[in-house]
Amino acid sequence: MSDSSSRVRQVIALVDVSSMYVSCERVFQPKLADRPVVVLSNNDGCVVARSREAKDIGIPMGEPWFRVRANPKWRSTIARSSNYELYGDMSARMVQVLEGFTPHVEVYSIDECFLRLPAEPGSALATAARIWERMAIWIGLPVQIGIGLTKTLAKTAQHHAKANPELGGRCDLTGWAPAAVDEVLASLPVSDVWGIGGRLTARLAPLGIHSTLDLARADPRQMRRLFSVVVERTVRELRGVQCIEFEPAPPVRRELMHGRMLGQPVTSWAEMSEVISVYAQTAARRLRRHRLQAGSVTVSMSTSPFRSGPDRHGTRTLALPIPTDSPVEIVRVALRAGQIAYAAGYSYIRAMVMLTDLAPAGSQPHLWADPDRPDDPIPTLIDRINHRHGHGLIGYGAAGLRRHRPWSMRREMLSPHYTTRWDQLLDVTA
Amino acid sequence: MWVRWALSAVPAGFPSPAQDYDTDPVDLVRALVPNPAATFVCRVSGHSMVGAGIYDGDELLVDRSLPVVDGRIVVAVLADGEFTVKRFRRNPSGVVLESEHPDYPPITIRDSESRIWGVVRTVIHHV
Repeated sequence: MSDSSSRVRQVIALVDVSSMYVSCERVFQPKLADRPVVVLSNNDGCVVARSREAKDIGIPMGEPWFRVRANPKWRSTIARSSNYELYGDMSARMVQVLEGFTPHVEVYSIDECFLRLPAEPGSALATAARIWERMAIWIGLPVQIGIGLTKTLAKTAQHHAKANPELGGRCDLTGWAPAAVDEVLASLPVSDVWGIGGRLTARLAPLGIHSTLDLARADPRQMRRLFSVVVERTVRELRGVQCIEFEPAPPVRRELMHGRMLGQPVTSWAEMSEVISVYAQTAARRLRRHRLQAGSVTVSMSTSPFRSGPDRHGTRTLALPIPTDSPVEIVRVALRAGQIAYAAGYSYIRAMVMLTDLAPAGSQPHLWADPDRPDDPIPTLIDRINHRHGHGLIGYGAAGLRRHRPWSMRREMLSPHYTTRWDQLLDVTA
Repeated sequence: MWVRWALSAVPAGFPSPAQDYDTDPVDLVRALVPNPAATFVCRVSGHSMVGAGIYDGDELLVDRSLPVVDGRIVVAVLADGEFTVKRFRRNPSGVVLESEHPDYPPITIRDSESRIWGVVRTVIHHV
């Protein structure tokens, strides 16, 4: 089904680090190799990363750590708290390595990058082999590389490489005969397709669409009518037509958010309003650091899919009366949005404040803004005090209290920050 | 750090054409870390390498992209997962990790390629 046009100049490669968080830990703790290892979410709650060995003994993604610890089947499992500082640094190194091969690198997530490579026969696969080797030697991270005519096909190729270790961590579908490509698509369930989640999979099944090949053969216009333009694009991409943009340069920030899993479930508005107040101030601080102002605030909160009890996902967006970077205004509007989104009787474990409609600070003063009003000095003063004396020392309302709140992060099995702190460097014995 | 370099003798009355190019401060990182993505900093505990000028408490700039060649100082991983800094020696009978101190014997290792973590480029010793 794929378009084998010889006029194609470039192909897309997806470089994906296998079990990124675990792999990062293993670079500095080689004893973790070949053993079941899991990395836990914020506050050591749930499994967010598993080594292949942990997967093989049946530990599901998202399993709460207290359950893993208690199960005799999984006694040999080693856990680590999420070391975002380390993973972020290793990810930045990956991007540097990839940029050594081509300037056309799009950072998709902490462990995935898309690259554009020349389409000469065999060239992309040879480059993939060198990328694989350099990632392994220079940084120590194992990767899978999938190559296709589109991003969606590159992802498919990467899945195929992952499922077939004999391919050596790379797969270039553009070099394959269409029948062979179809075979790969037929072997992958539609739920594996980029952008197709559990709900869509369930809705596609009654239409007889179970495999990736089924979806590639679907009528794009019908898919658009029944589902969305996003699904239509996916179908076209599976057929080799690029519809999803390649964005090597990060777009001007469109939104800025601060969200976390909460250390303990929040079950009252009193607690939730504290959370929102702190998160809104953190987001506002980052806004100021980037010299931006926001036009609207979105607050959302959700319950845990893993605990019993009713599900709830509440969200509300409110516009700020005047685009601003003032923490007072942002907290005020965030609290109002949160109050609307909040419903009593649920046990929330995640909350987020997102600022959108961003523009450079001071731009386009509102029609009703008073140009003679002096800039509020207090937010800058608070930023300076916090910067000099410690993050979170003072703030507005609840954020000004430095006592440890039950919902702030717990990280009891944290590895050293080997690459970001001078006092936590890797120890080497002489 | 600001260091001015005179690139050539400057005759009075005639400005050096290179004058515009020597005003950047010395960039330590650029000079010492040519490959940042592959360079990691480690800290030394122990005395087995004093003969090579590596002392307890020193930092090492380890470059994983450098080739592992006979005679280079490397960071290696031992069987128990411990990291060690030693001189890499390859001879016809195999690979040996040598210390630079009479009290520390050499270590013979098998499967050398997977054991070498990186090559030491620079040692930082604080006096």
